[in-house]
Amino acid sequence: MKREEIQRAVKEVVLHVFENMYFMFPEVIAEDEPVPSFPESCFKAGVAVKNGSETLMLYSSEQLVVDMAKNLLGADQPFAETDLIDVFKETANVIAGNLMTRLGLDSSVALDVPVAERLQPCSELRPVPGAREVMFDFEGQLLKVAVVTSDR
Amino acid sequence: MAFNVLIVDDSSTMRSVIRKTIEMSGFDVGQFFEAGNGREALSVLDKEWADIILTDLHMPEMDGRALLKALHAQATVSTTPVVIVTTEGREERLDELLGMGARACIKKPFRPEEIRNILMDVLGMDEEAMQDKEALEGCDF
Repeated sequence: MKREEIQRAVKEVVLHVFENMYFMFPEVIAEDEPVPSFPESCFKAGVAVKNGSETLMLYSSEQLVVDMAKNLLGADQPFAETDLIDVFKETANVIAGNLMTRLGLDSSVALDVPVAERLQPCSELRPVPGAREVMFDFEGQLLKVAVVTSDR
Repeated sequence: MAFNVLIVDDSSTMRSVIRKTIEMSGFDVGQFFEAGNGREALSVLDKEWADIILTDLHMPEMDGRALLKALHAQATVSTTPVVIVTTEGREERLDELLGMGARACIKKPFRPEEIRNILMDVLGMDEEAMQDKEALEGCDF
């Protein structure tokens, strides 16, 4: 599948999921645009295609995950590390599922259970030129969504 | 009549969101039960009665599809309505789940009114009864 086609689908799905799940409206960062500064702490999540080599990866600023948790679960509670990881894992799950539908993948293609963890330092959040990825800006907080191929 | 609801999802976040959505929708819920996968759900159902089950599909240990099969094989719970809450949107997959006995599918991300409408339909409630109840409780959904 062409890089541009995947990027277009990722943009549509991420905007749809964040609007409907978190009432958030991110802006897509164009590839020739400068990226806002990177946070000190962030999270990463991955959802692999079962018996395949493709994995959807998400990288996010820690503050964005906190904001997502507030919008989803309520702002009146402190969030444990496990809550934040669970919120980000579920986000990856929803984006991956919707992406499969949007790309019209064959019904035999299924997803594995997602995994998520804290990531320090956040160098993986940097854009990789030419990669099948899209960067999003949430008023200074960053999200990177990438489709990567691994040798398994 | 109060309904007992079993929510099955490996994400505690999603269980919490579904629970809050149902509470806000004005349903008369007796008890909420929660399980992190199909096996835990079956264990809950060994001890408790649920009037409706909302389950995710992708879960570790025992997924939603295996849970549907297991429920179908148990006489005591084979008629309990099961609603799948999933990111899956491909027609073939959804048709397959409905063919396996699921009563409805809700696609993530969902809006609160989608859960409300599907639960009303599955539980056989009408809008008028819900509005009367909301008026009584002052709950404006």
